[in-house]
Amino acid sequence: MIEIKDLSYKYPGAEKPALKDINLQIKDGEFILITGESGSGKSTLLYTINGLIPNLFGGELTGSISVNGLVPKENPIRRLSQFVGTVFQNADSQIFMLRVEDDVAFGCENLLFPRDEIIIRRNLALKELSLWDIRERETFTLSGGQKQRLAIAGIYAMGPKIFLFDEPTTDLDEEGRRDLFQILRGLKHRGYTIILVEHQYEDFIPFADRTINFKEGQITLSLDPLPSRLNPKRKKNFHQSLPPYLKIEDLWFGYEGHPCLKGINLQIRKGESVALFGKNGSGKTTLFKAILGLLRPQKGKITIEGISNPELSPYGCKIGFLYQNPDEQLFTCSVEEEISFGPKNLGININIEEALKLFELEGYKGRQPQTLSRGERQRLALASILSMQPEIILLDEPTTGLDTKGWTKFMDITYNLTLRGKTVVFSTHNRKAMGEFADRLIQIEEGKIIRDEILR
Amino acid sequence: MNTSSELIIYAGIVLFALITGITLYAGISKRLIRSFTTYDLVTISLFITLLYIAILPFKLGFSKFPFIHSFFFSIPYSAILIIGIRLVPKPGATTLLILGNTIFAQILSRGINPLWWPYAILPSFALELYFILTRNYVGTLLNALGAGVLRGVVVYLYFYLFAGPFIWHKHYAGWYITFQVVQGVIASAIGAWIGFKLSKIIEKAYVYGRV
Amino acid sequence: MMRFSDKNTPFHRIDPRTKVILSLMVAVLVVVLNNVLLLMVLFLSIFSAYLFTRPSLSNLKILVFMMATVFLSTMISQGFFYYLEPKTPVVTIVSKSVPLIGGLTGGLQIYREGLIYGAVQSLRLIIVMTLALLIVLTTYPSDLILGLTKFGLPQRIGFMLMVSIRFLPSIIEEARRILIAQKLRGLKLKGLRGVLRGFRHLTIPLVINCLRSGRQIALAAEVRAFTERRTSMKELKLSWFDPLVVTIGFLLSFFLIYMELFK
Repeated sequence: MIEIKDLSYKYPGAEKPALKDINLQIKDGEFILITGESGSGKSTLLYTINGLIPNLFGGELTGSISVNGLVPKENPIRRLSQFVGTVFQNADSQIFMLRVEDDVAFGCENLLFPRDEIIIRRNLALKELSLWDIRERETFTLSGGQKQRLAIAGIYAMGPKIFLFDEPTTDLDEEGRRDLFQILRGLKHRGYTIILVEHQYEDFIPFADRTINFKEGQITLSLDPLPSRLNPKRKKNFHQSLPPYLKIEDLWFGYEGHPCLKGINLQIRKGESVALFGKNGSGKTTLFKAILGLLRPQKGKITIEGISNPELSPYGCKIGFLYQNPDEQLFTCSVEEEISFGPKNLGININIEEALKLFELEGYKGRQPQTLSRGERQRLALASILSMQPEIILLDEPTTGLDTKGWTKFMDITYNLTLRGKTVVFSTHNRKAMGEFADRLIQIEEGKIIRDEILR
Repeated sequence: MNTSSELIIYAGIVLFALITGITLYAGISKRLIRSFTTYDLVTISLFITLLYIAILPFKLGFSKFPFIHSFFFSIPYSAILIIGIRLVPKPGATTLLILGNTIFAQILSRGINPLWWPYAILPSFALELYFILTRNYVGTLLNALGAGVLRGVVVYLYFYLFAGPFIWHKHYAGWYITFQVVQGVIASAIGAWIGFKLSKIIEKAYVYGRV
Repeated sequence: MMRFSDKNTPFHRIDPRTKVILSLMVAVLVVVLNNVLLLMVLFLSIFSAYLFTRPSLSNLKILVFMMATVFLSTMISQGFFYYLEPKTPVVTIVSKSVPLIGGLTGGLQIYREGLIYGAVQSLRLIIVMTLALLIVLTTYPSDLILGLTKFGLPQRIGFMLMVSIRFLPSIIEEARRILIAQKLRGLKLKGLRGVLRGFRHLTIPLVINCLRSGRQIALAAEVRAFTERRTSMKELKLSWFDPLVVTIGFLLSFFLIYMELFK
């Protein structure tokens, strides 16, 4: 049982408190869903429960909190971890060992369990999380969903009764989310207490015992309504008769005899906003790389406005590409330098102020890119690609890492581009984004296109 | 072997044993290791990996020119080393970085080989002493350059004056040794300069930003 | 990335601690022995142990290539710098009479005795390299780290090395992606300025991302109760094979040293 009374917390050096007068009681076996915008204090609450606050982070903590009778302030994180397990967002950062079975045992080894007991717990966790068959695999060969399960298994083996999940579905595709759902269901069934922080929460609402909404560090009574598009845009008269702009004919590509793309045929017109939908590993990123000319296809042709791709260098910059992780594309010292980097290399002149305004980055001109928030960094990355004036923009999973408000703002900008004649192709597994921002849906599975429909 | 070279060998072994002893003693002492937070240790781990990656392209490409390839080696290595020290400015960090990287490379591809440990222990020892004496862990450019030069001097002199003749039984002419040492020192200094400049940029994000 | 090959040869079954001891023995031998024949004996015994692990053809090719490189470069470098008499020049690159360089260096010539001497000395390095490759092929990294911890390496340092190994492939991948992103923004990596710029623009995001991940990793470790003392699930068991190998090693070493000193 977790009891929280009048809990307030301020991070060291912060002006505003991250948590304000939280009062909460969580009974054993409950499944609590916590939602709210980025920065509203959801994760901070989790950290007060597992002891990271205040033991690791410091800061000012007032009020009282007790977890299973223990007061986090007075107990080392170590002790608390026997009762409270935490699973973070990025599965990769929670895997320490080279082999699956070794990683599951890591936590137990730290808790000084004797060897025999470690082996029993480890095997139990492997079986519970469906990792038994791959227990001897090397960890860097695992898929995203498998890594997630491994992270959970490592915590499970330690034997806590309370599980904290901090936005675990962020990097997962549909199948991964379904898997996670099953796991959570299993845990609830066995009577574990689960606290899940999520902003893609719709799937979990009917399943949770209680849903708590956070806003600016406080618990609010009502759920934020799902934001609707600010200006629902009608697509301008879209002529099917327009000639294809990007044409892919019978594209085949594979790695070392393992085929990735099998006979892709695709025609995209100028000004279309296309959603590329499919599981992780279905070939979306490979298709992007092929369009960019980063891969040489074994068979088939890609042409843009009739010019075949090998002659088009991506730095000729008809094509822009936005990585899923914007931090891999930001490498200068100021926002201004970042945006003007590309055009400078190409000899194009651009208007910085206009670009800043368009991407709502006014006032950030001299700032170091890494000091911006995730959503701002993503907009900056997009700006620095658009400044090179590409005609087609490829976006790799643009909605991950952002809350609903964040990606809605972002996709609005990209959709507006199509109204000005640019072509946008974005890969995603976010159905809502697809529904609201795509003119056309292409579904790809195991390297083949299985669906190609016009949505509007 | 004549008496003077015998003397050098014995002196070298004694000196080396002393240095190793001090290093190991300090290293295994729990107190020192406890002064590192988990985040410090993880940062050092990742820097050990970065040090390895920094010289990867040169291992495969330039090894055809043994006479100057160490020049290209040393620059990225020193740069990343300096950045690492600046981010974890504690006694022992340098040793963990250099020695850790050596053992890491040995586990991964070179095989556990004590003959190469002096290359790690000697510069670590010298640099730790340097930082303690100057009371400055790469806080200023001068300090960084000094560290780079020191590293270059220690490593190259060790090889050409001791390891070369007495361990590998390889001899080099005086002018060649001078040429290599000078080149090594210059390369390390350049690397240190680059590392210092980069670390200032990285720190801006680190301190004020979301890192 | 790791060159460990998962087979079940006798050498695979040797405890990593034994392998460390073997390395130490070989290290001493390589420095002490001077006689060509004895060095050859040492080399052949290690090389045959290597062949016993049935290495793949590509692996063998890599080893031979590395050996050849060491052989040739040592030969040539010692060919230049041989200073004992007699020395017979085979090739003269710069004679003594050339102004400045000739006078400074005393003439750059390759001597026959030097070439031979170099060939012999290269054996030392080759022996060490072959043993090293043998160990890397037959020992899993985490076992090796475990062995080292049993020898006194602090647990936290063992953890550190484990993390370094575990994240190597990820960081390399990330570096590649960053480089591609830069190419896509038109960054030209030609020439000295290009390389410097490239390094700067690669290092900054790479290090910052490492620091970010590092924070996450550290939090995850804390939450898994990570501190100094740990028990270990894995065990290293010494089989009958290990003391046998060590004994053989000692006997061989004593034999070789005896031959060196007294014959």
